Amino acid sequence: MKTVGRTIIRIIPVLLIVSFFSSSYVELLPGDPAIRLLGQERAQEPAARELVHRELRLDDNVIVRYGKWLGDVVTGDLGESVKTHGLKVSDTIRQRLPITLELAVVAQALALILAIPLGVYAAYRAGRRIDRALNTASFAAISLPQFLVGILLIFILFNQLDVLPPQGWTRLTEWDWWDHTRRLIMPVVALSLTEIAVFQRLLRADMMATLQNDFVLTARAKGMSPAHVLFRHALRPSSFSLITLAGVSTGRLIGGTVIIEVLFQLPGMGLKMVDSITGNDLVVLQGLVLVVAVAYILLNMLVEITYALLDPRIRRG
Amino acid sequence: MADVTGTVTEAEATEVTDPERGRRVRLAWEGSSRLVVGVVLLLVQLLVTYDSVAWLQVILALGGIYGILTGVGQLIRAGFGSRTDPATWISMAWLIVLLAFVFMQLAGLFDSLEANFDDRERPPSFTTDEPLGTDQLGKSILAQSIRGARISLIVGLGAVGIGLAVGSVIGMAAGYFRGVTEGTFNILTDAVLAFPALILLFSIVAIFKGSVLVITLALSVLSIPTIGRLSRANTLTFAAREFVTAAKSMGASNSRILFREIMPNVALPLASYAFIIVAVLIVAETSLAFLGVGIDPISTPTWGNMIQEGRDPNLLEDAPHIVFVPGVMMFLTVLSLNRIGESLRVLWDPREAKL
Repeated sequence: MKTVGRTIIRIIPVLLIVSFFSSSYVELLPGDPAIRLLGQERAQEPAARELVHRELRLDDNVIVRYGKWLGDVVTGDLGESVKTHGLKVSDTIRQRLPITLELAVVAQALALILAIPLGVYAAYRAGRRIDRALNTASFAAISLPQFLVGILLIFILFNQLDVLPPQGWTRLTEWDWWDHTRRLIMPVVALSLTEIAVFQRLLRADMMATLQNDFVLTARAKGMSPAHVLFRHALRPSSFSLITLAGVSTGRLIGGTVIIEVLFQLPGMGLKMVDSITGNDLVVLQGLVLVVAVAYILLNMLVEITYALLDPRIRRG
Repeated sequence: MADVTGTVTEAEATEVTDPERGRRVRLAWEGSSRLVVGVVLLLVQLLVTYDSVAWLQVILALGGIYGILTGVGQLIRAGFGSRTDPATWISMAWLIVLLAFVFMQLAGLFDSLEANFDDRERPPSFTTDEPLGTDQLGKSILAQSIRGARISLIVGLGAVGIGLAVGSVIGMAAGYFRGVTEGTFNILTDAVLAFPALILLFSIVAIFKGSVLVITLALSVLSIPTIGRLSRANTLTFAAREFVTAAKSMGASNSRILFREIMPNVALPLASYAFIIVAVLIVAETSLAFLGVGIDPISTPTWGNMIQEGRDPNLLEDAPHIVFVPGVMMFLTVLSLNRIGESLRVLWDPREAKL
């Protein structure tokens, strides 16, 4: 329980700094933010300027503004887009979050499903031909950015073979499961390739250390099959750092979903983020950044706590 | 057979035993035959199947490159002992070639970025004056890719340089003085690294529009805490060692201990991670450009900008080389940096050297 308390206390200053930073974009803009946000012509209209000033609370000082903004955020009000009148940021998130979440969860699940057997097998056959081939392949995959994988997939599966649609999305609410799955394949594969490689390398290293233990030799000497020893005896003690990494790697996965959403034109959070940067819609951007960053911090906290509960060696007090 | 570091090889090479000689002869034969097959495949790809289907060309090219690389690798192992790691040497060779091209461009070769609308989307062909083809505006892909290499290297090396200069000092201070210094350091690095990396970069480019300087500084915001944490962790272990206690008891000042006793020890592991961080930052820079929020595409061609312009599925159909030439260059560069960093890490960190 002590670990849990310590972890929670440690993230409070981090959360404050992160939220302060996301609320202070406007402060950092050079010149009158209204001009930057609206463009020269629309900034001449008093009504539009009025809206920007009210929405961004430009008449308060930094600390007061941060306090009010935080108060709003806690009650679920992330403000409105200055560009498109009356479009609430919280509504945008409600529409787009499920798509991003689906991509990330399916990709992570696929990565674990493929990486665990590959990592276990590579450790079992360490130094042999297949292990070396897997080693080379995973090293190459780590150096291959997600957008290149995505473009390569589009080039092969759409341009050359014409079996999958290159871009676009079908909402689950349209109940077209077949089309939904077809449009999910390329983004998910592109997202999970790096993860598979990273997980596979890590599990292989941990598994090889576990296989040095006497209990593995005992189990083999008792006549148990290699598969039984590998998956029932050795996998569990080898999987602790994999669990941690699966949590930490969501940061890379979040960046990855942004890139993949832009490449495949999927209407998730990432596509909106990039649109709001190019369109100077800072209120939307700061809302999205805050949600993503806080979710990421909380998730990592959760992983840290789970890890402490799972592994008695680091449970303290 | 495990990859073992170069030092072992040299010791063994002095007394070449008979099985080693036999292995080398076999490697030389297999290597040269793979090399020949690879070269033949590439020549067929470049000269014979010029107008045929794309997938056949891709398979021939990949097969040829695979043959040449593994062949050269085996020849290196035949020449320098069968335990040399050829991948690292090939990686260094690639970076040297890339740098050579960058300097050739600085000297005035193939640096024309002129648009030529009569000569658009020309496919690569080594028999013409545009060996890597032209893009949708008729600009030379070769000239743009080399420019892209220059920008990526400047940005990546610049950000890591700033990270090393600032991050190592504050990290060492945190690890040496402990107390309040360390607490502040921890909270600040936690806060920066609490953002998913790409999202943090978004925040910065949303405020200051992308230029080479802004992107370099933005990336060093990422590299400073990463390098800082590494050097803090390393400092912690060295600060507890006897030689530091000895220096203290002889009355050495804090700055002398930090810079003369601890820094040389911390510098070595940091240097090997620096290569890997450069690779990560080059990917980040390219990703930003790919999303259209990086370095301004009109004034400065970068790998990411080129890939972003050529990624439209229709353009990909007509002129895949616009994407794949910078893509392959970037992949090879990132791969080489990772490989070199990994070798250095194994070399300097004997704890992880087993397998």
